[in-house]
Amino acid sequence: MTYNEFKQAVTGYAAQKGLTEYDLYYQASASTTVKAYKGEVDSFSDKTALGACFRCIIDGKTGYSHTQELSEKEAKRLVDDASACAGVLESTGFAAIYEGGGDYTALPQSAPEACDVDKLKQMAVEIERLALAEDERMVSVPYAYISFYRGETALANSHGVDLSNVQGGYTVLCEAVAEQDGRKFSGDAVGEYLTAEQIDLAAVAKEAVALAVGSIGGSTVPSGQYPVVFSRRMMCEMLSCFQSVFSGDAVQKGLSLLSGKEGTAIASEIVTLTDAPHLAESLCKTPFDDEGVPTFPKTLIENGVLKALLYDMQSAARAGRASTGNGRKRSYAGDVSVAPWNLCLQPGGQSFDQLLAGVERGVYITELKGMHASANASTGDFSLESKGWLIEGGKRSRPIEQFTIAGNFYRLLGDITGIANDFVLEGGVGSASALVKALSIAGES
Amino acid sequence: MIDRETAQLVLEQAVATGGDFAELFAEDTMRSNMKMIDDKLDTAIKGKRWGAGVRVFKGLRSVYATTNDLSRDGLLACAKKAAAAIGDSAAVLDIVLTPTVIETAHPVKLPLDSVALADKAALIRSAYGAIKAYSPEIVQAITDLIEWDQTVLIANTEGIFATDRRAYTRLFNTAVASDGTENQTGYDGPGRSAGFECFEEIDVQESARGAAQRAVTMLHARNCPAGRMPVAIDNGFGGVIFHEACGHSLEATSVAKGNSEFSGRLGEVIANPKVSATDDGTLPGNWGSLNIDDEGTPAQRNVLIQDGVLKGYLIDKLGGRRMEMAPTGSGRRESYQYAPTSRMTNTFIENGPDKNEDIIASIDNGLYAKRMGGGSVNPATGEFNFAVSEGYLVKNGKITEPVRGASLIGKGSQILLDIDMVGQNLALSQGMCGSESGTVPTNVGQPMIRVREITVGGR
Repeated sequence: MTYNEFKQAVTGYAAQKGLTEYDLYYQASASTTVKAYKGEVDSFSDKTALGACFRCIIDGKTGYSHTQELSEKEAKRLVDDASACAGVLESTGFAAIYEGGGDYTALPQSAPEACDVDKLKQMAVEIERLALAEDERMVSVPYAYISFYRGETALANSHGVDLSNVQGGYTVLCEAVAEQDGRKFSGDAVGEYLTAEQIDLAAVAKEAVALAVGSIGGSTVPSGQYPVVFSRRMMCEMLSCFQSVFSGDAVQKGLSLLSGKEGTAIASEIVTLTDAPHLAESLCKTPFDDEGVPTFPKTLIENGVLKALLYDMQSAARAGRASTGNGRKRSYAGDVSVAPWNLCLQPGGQSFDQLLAGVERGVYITELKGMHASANASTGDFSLESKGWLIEGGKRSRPIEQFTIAGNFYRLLGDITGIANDFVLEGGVGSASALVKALSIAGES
Repeated sequence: MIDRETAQLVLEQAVATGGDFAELFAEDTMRSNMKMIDDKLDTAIKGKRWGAGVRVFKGLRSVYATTNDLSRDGLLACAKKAAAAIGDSAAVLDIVLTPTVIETAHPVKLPLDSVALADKAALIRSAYGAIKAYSPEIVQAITDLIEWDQTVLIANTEGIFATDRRAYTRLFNTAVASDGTENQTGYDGPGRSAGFECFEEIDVQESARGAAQRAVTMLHARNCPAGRMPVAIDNGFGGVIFHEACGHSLEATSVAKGNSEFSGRLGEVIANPKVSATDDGTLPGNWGSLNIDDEGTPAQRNVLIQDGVLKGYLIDKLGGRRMEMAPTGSGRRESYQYAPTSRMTNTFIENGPDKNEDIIASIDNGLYAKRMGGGSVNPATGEFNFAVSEGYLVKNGKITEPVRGASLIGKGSQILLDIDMVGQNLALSQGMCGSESGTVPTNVGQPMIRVREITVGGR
C-alpha cells in the first residue's frame, strides 16, 4: 500500500469514528553508508525506513499511535490505539491541532535525489588513506565513514493542512589513532555537506589527525579556576546539550530556570542566539514544524537579553501566545516536544588566534565526553571529561588530558567574554569558538 | 512472520553473488509509553516497529540492507540489494534451514497488550504521587512507563531458523527539587525482561521515593571538591565503572581491529587480583538477558576477568571471523535498522573479600559515590567518564556531608588495577547502552568497591 492510500484509509476510518481533531505524520528515508578499513570497503549498508504516526485529540486529550506497516489493518489499528491512548489521559486544557492558513517560506530544494554508490566507496577508502598519510605517527583509522541520507517528511491534518519537505545530504566521519611510545591517541572529526561537490575529505581527515597527533605527549593540569576557550565544535556541543533550557514547555514545567526571565539579561552582552529554521547551508531546514506550523527565524537572546522562548502548539496555548513553529518529534514515533531547528550563537569579529591572545593562562577545550550523563539541562550543572591545550601567554603551550571542566550553563552564559569569527554549523547547532571567564578544572591535586 | 520457504529463497538470493554467509533478521515489535508530568497523565503512545534486515558476509566484508516490506517480493528485493553490494561472482553455499524451537528462560506473563491502560495509569499515578509526597521541595515529577514486546525471526545460511520473543518493562521516575533559584534532580529506573508482572517484584513507591530523596539531598549539597582522591563506589548502578572502563573495551567491536587497549592480552593480569567480572546473558528475567542473541547464538555466561586475569572477550559473528574465535552470544542490535555487533548483556564485578564497612573506614579523605549515572568510553585510549548522581564526602573513615555535580574520569587499564577493595553486596541495576548497533538494555552491577585514587571532576 502506498502512503497516499494509507493516508486515505486512516483519514477515512478517523472520519467514520467521528474524530475531528487529528494529524498524520509520515517519514520515509533512504541512507547509504560506506566504511573503509585497510584500503578496502569493509562495511556497506543500504537502509530504507518508513514510519507513520497518527495523533488525535479527544476531549482535550492527545493520544498517539505509530506503525511501519502500511496496510488497511494497521490504518484501523492506528486510529483505534490513538483513540484508546487519548481515553486514558487527563486533559491539560491546551492541546490543539494546527488550523492552517499560515504562510510557508519556499526553501531552495537542495537535497540530492540519490548518490553515486561507487563514488561513495572511493571516498571512504580515500578518507582512510588521507588520514594515514597526514602524519607518520598515524597507526589506524577505526572510522573512515561516509553516509548519504535523504528523507521525506509529510504532514496532513483534519483542518486540511497537507505538507511535505525533503531533507538530505552527506556526512563524513573520520576517527584517527596515532601512536607514540606504545600509547594511543585518538581524534575525530565530522563534515556535513548538502551536495557531493561540497564534500571535503581532506579537511575532515586533517582535522581528525590534528586532534589525535596534537594530543600526543599530553598530561593533566593542576586543578583550579581557569579561563576556558571552547573550540567551535565543543561550543556547538554545549549549546546542543542545553538547548532545552529555551523550551517554553520546559520553563512551564520548572525544568528550565528561565521562568520569568524574558526581557532580562541572562547572558553577557556579546551573546546573541538565534533559531534559524531556513538556514541555507543546513541539512535540517524546514518550512514547517512537526505540527504543520510555519517555521520562521527568531532571536532568543539579543545582546544578552532573553527575547523569546520556543513554543509548540500546546505550550504556546498555555502561555497565551502563538506557536513559534518549534514543535519537534525526536523520530516519527515520538510525541511532539519543543526544540530549535538550527540554534546559532552569532559569531564575533575577532579571529580564533586573537581570541586566544587575550588569555594569559587558561585552558582550550577540543574534546568533551559524557554529556548524556554528566550534564543536566534541568539544573544547568555539568562536569565533563575534557581534552585540549593549556594556554600560556595567549598561545597554546602544551596538550592536556585527563581533566574535567565543571560549571553551570546558566552562569556560563553570563561569563562568555569573547566569541571568535570561525562559525561552524554541525547537526543543527552553529557556533564559533568562545571564551568563558572562569570554569572549574579538576586535574591533579 | 515469515515462512521457512520465503526465508530460504531470501537467503539464496542474498548469497547469489558469492557471499559466504547470509542472515535474515525480521521483527514485529509493539511499543508503548505512558507518561505523567505536571500532575497530569498527559502522554500515551502505542505503536509497532516492523521491518527486516538482510546481512551478507564475504570474508571480512559485510553488507547490510533493510526494508519495511516483509512480503516475499519485498524481502527478495532487499536481499538482492545486499547481494549486489557484496560481489559479482556465483553462489557457493547450500542452505538447509532447520526450524529451532527456543525454550524461553524469560517468560512473559502479562505482555503489554494484555494489561488495561487504566491499570498502567494507576501504577504510574502511584509512583508519581510518591515522588510528589516526599517533600514540599519536590516541584516537579515525571513518571514514565516504557514497555516493548519484540518478536524476532532469525534465519541464516548456517541453517538457523528460529523465532524468539523479548518483552521489556521499565518504570522511570524523575524528581526535580528546587529552592526557587536552583534545581537538582534524582532518578530511578527499575526494569525487567518481563511483562507487567514485574511490578509484583518491583516496589514502584520505593523507587519513586529514592528518586525524590536524591533530588532533595542534592539540593542541600555543596559542590563536590575537585581533584584526585580515593572513592568508594556502591553497588548496583555503580557497576557502570566496569561497563565503561572495561566492558566496552572487551567487545569485538573494538578488540577485533586492535583498537582496544585490551586487544591481544588474554591470559594477562589486567586487574587487581580481587577483581573477577562476568557477562551473563542467561540470568532469568534480567534486563540484559536473552534466550538467543540477535544472530541466533544462545545467550551464555562469559567469564571476562578471573582473579585479575583477562579470560575472555564479547564476540559477535563478524568480529569472531576477524579474531578467529567463536561467538559468545553477544551479537545484539536495537532493531532491524542496525546490523548486530558485539554488546554486553548483564555485566558485573563479582563479590570480593572485603566488608563494606571496612571500605568506608579505610578512606581518610575521599568520596563515597552512593549512586552513579551514565558514562562513556573511548576504547582505543581507554579514557572513560561517568557521573556521580549521589555522592558524600568521607572524612576519617566516616561518611559525612552530601556533595553534588561530580563526575569521575580515568583510563580503563589503570582503574582496573586501582580497584583495591571489593565488597560483598553485589546487586544489578538497569541501563540503556548505546553503541554502533543502537541502544540496547543492559544490566550493570557490582558490590561496593574502592578505587585507590581517581580524578573527581568537581568544582
